[in-house]
Amino acid sequence: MKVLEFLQKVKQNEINIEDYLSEIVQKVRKINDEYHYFNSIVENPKPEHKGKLFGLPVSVKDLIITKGIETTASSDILKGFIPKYDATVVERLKNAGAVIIGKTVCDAFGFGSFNLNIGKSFQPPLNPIDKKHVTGGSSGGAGGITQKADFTHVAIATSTGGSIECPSAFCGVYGFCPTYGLVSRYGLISYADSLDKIGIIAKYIEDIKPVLKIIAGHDEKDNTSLSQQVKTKEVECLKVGIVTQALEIVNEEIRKAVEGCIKKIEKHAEIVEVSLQKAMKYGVATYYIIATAEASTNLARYCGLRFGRNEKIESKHFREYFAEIRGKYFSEEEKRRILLGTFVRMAGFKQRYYVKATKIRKLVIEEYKQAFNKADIILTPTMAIFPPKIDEVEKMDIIDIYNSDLLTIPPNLAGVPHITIPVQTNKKFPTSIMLCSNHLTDYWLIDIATKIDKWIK
Amino acid sequence: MTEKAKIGLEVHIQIKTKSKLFCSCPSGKSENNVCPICLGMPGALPTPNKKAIEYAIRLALALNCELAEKIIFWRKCYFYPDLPKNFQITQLEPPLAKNGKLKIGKKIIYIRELHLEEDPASITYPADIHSSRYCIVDHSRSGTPLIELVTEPCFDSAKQCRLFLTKLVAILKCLKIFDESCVLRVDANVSLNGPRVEIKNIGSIKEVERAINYEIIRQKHFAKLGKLKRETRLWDSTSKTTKPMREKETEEEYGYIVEPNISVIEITKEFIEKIKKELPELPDQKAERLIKQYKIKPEFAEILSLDYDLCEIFENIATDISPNLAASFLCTEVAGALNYEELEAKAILDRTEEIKELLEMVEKNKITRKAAKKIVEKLISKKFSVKQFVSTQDMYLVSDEKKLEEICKKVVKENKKAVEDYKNGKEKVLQFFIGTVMKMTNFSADPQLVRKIILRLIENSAN
Ligand SMILES: [Zn+2]
Repeated sequence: MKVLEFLQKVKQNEINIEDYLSEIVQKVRKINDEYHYFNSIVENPKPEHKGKLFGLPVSVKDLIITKGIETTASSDILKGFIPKYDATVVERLKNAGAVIIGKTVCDAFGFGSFNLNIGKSFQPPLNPIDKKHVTGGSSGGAGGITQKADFTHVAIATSTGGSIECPSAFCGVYGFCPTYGLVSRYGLISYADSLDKIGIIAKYIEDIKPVLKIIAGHDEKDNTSLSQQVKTKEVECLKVGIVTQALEIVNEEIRKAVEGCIKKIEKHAEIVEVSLQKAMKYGVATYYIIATAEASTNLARYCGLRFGRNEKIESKHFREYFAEIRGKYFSEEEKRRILLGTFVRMAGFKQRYYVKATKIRKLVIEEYKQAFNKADIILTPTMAIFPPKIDEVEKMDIIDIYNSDLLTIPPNLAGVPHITIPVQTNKKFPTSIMLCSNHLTDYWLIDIATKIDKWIK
Repeated sequence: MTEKAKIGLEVHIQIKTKSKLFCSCPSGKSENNVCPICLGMPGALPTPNKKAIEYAIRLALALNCELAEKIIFWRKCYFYPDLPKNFQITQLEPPLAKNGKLKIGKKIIYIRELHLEEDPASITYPADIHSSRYCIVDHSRSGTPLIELVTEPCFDSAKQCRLFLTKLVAILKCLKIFDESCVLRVDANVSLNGPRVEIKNIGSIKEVERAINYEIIRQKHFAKLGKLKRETRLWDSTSKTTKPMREKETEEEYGYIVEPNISVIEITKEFIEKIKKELPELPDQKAERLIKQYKIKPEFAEILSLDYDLCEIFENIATDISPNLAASFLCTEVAGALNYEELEAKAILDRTEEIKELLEMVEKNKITRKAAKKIVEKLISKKFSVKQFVSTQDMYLVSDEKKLEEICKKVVKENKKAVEDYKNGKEKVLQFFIGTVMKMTNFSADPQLVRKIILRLIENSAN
């Protein structure tokens, strides 16, 4: 049942919320035993306030702070951390009557594309279509539960370089990532603050807007939160931009499926060619430099002193203690990104890497602006590959893993809104197309995507 | 050793805002004033305090600095237990302001730059820093707004540093961005043409002078032994010495990046103009005005211009009594008494009326200035009616020659030796005689008259 229909039924007392929620908890537990989508499930979920989303079950990625509910970022170093405050998004959802049912698993701190980078205390989520495969990451739990749930539910997820788009594509659901700054990040555990966004994963495209309307909007607790209004757009004949280069690098089956979509869209819109040369060429490197530089400073606070893991400290020099805690509880990928990020901002390397990357990001934003002069939206495949098997990923080279974000990184770097739509293929797994539009045209993009979703079905 | 010392200061000034620099917790020494932001909790984000920015701009303007066009905050990354996020939000490029000047007498002190940053938590050790098995981290200070001010190495003595800091504090108070509850911490770079030594953690202006003087002597000594090296030392206010820091300071590497959670803040011309218009009268302008308006001596005008509250008292009474008397009494007797009791003039603001009454009595020759001094020494610790005090203590001026002669005779008689001394040329003894008589009369005797009588008595005394 779609969100609006569900909310209507609750309003008219056709659904008993209490019964519905306790039934959901049972179902979630059962799914979780098999697929591992949740780090924690709320015992007795119930709405705390009356509001526009009264009774709506929502899962929250475990990278977002929830008052009184363990929040771990799926990292061992934060195991046991029970926050004393709510993220703005969570607060807004609760105030609107939505119900948090649990915290979904993700790559630790959002560091990953396959949701296999998790602490030892966590279990990797399994693809809802075939358990031998990954869900994609970093919002793997969110993608998985959205596909698997046979009840009304919306997942709150986050994206830094593709963490909403990738699992949405691999699990066959819709993912939406807003304009940077549209949704408050207050209470989102920082991975790379200048890139982090909170967005939505949903089973139906119509489910995105009602939830976005609640969580979007200026928040004075987030200094980068935008105060401008979201724009609407009048378009006589929709111009859809295609990036040829993006189609050339993807898996053959995926390319066929996406080209099939383009053919169908062509009946309703004008297809134009746009260039995202810089984004395609330098995007991955730029992203990993900026993201790890910021991440390495964000993760400095995890040292066993104020929250999360701590151990006997007396008689130890603090350096020794910090090194011990960080050495023990950070995973290999967390350590890799800390080292990489520290390296690129050190004297002697900073100009060559960090400073240069921030300049290239500006060029990428400029490139998108140019592209949006030619096209109203840009369409690319979301992922170049189908979800790999878990044991295949373990054999992958780290550079190949980082490169798998090639198509999702550009809109994330530019901070433009984007949405992914699942597309059927001739294979076992579906794939996905990604549509992006100019800054602050989020609702318009969702409306256009809803139309396109119908055209391609 | 004749090398001149070359000293530069790095001053950390806590400023008096209602809330901390990046959160809404109350700033200052209240307990439990912490929140997820100043504790560096995961997910908490900083929001810059506009008032702190305005305050820093006020200081920058008062010190004739060039202001940056935009404010950018940076992350300065290093691990330390007092730093909740293990990075400090500060400024790097551009600093909020640079190239300032402040005149100390005839010397110009050049200010390289000043910027805003957050104060870390405070650490206390149960014992000595090196031998303690644990330390206590108090986060109530965490996130307090600090202005860091860096001077060029243009001082050549500890005294000059003290004068600069005294004037700086006077300016801060004038600007109403600092008071007694705010802390000033200083690091000093000291060199005698040799290696540069940094002294960290000096907690007050007096200590700055002590620490630098100590360091100059230490460096001279070590230079003679050929053992002087570049290092960072810690000022220990208990032993009044500088001690080497245990950790070897390698070239500092902070891996600065721009703080991505704070948008760039434009400093508009309108905003600067508004702050400029609201700037109060600064010490130099004040001294100039005091000289012009009240015709008082420049040295008194300077003292008053540097002590905001003492000057308040002065301006409140100078309309009713002679400004010269008021200024000299406040700058010598009152300032001396305050200094002795380690009090600030602020503590006696409510005694302005009493001071005025005292000086009126001095002016009308009802009491001696000495008596006024004695009374004011009491007055600074406790408020009381001075008129009543004068009459119960019998302190009204005595100019009855007969009465005074009796006392003088007694004193001369009892101090035959002193009379001899005087006759042998020790003229200072006269002061002793007058002083003794003053004491015996509870400072009510007319000192001029006493002087006359004593001289006559000595003259007339038999050889
Ligand atoms: Zn706070």
